[in-house]
Amino acid sequence: MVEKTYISGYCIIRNNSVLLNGETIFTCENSTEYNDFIKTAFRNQQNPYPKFFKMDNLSKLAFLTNVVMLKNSNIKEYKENEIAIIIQNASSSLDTDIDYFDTIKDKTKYYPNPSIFVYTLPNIMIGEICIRNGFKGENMLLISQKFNPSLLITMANDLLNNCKAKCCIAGWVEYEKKQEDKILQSPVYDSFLCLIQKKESGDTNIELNIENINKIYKNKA
Amino acid sequence: METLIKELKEEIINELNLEDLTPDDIDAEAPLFGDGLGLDSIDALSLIVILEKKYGLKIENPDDGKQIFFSIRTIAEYIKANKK
Amino acid sequence: MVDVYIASDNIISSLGFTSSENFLNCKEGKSGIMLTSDTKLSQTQIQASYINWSNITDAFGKISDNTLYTKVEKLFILSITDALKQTDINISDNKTLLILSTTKGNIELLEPDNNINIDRKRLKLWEMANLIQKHFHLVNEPIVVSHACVSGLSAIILATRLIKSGQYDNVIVSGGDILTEFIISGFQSFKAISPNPCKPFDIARDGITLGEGCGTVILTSNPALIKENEKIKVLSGATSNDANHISGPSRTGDGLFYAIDSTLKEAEVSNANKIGFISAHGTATSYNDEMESKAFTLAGLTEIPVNSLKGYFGHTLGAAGIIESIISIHALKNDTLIPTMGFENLGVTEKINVISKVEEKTLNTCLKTASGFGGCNAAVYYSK
Repeated sequence: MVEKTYISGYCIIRNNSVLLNGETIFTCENSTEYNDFIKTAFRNQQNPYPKFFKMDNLSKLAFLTNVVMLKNSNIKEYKENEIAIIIQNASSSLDTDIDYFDTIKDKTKYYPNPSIFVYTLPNIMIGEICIRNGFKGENMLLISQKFNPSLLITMANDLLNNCKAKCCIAGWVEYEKKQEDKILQSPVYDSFLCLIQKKESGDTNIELNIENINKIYKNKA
Repeated sequence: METLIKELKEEIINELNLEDLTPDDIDAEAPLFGDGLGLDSIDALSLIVILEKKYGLKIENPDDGKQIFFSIRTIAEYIKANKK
Repeated sequence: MVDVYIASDNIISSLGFTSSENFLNCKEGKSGIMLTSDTKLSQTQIQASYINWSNITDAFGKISDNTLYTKVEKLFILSITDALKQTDINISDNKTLLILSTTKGNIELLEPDNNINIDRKRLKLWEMANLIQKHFHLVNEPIVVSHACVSGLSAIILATRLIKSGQYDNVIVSGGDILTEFIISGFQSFKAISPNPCKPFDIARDGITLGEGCGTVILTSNPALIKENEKIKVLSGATSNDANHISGPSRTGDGLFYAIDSTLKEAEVSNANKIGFISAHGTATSYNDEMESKAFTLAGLTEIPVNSLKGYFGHTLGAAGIIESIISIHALKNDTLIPTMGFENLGVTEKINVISKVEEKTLNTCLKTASGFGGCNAAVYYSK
């Protein structure tokens, strides 16, 4: 018998806007570059963390989404090893892979950069969230063409129903680099994280199912 | 020496993404790691890259870095003593 | 309760192109690590575990066109083909899934001179996975796990959970990574590569040795597919995070301990001394091996024989968890403890029981662990 699980809060960051539980809480003009937008949005949270500025684009996106998503949550009720994180995306860490490759491609200017290299793994964004919050539970980073809510629900429910976790931060955090060859004129980014737990606690209490998660992900709730 | 120190501060702020810091905020004598500026092991490796890229100085053994990278002043002294 | 069995497996590495060839070479104390001076891979000479690529080209030429696939794609296809040959699972039904594990996949495509005929969109890991799926005419959209050095174990854990939940009957799990200048230069910039073949858990250990390879395990819920005396089950598994540092392992080992503890609790192991052996991550960096020794101590496993297989294969990144699981499974089947190549004198604080010579011994279970960048850890528990 599978018990019901609930989404107790969620955050979306896209189109230079930050939304908490469907409400826009911060926005910048469309013309604002991603780098300026994400830093301004982070400062707006009044939650200083100098390491934020050292992160790559993808980790900044996941990190800020998580900060906002957990704002009014009951996450502190859980022990460090009871909090799981599952994140999906399409482009892995390709944005930073290209930046790192730039440090080695010219053999006359060959300076492999360790602080960029460390971000050439997509799961580093999960690591950054865990370090900041002391979360030591289950982790999984999956790559798929599109957000796959069905797989996410299966995995999160499996963790919660088999005592592998008591709550699960789950979602989709994608950042694709702007490309010179005009396929992409500006970076494409899209971030959605929600907190899933068995309890009806928090602001939203939406029952976890594909229909509901699609609705809130598309922000048509 | 003071010009080099200022240049190093700018370079480090820029390369290590020490956002919200200006050269004047960094004490040239204060420890860069631990209680001082709070740099970590990846920053130490990045400092090795800065020395190589900007000043042509290679540090093969990361353990040597501990003395060289104690403070901005010790880095400046190392550069002055070793730059050809 | 559904049980998950290993239906078949394959390893392609510097030590051979089948699991049994690789296992035999480990048992005989052969290492695939050698010195190379290929300037396409590294500006300086390095020790690494390389695949014989002309043999791959020959083998691949018999099943498809070499110019249409990248190196890592060829490894995946050859490895899965060999694993499928040894089992009768139905790959064309909708209860069969493909999970790939890799850290950098087709990253060599960033280099404009490599594979000029191949579409750069295959840098995207899902594009690469779709290509492999199409090659085998699999019905379901594949899943890619890209979770640093625990990718392989995470993929096995995910596959096991998806079978236990009833969603799939069979999962093909394949993990692969190749040596590229990208990866080698990155680890060099971390000053993490040893000038000599790595020496896991040894007092003189001074860094990792990189490797390349591919490993495939086919998991199934159908025991009828497996011969009675060859049944190996995936009992349980778990992942965790250190929450310490993105590139430095925990100083206490508590993260890995959580993964081990959760794995053993799931399998209802009441007496840890029943574990036959542990196949550790054992990268031979100072901090990793120290962290593992602490985690094993926290879990009460200091008496259990432990090995690291990095001295045979190098660190094969996204393939490591799978290749090392397969060697461990064959060690179980053969009742043989495989020693830690490169190890002589214990060099970690905690007194763990590192295997230093081949030993025949009745073995019923083994624990496989891995840890990686981003503070991630994983553990899987296998049994006869």
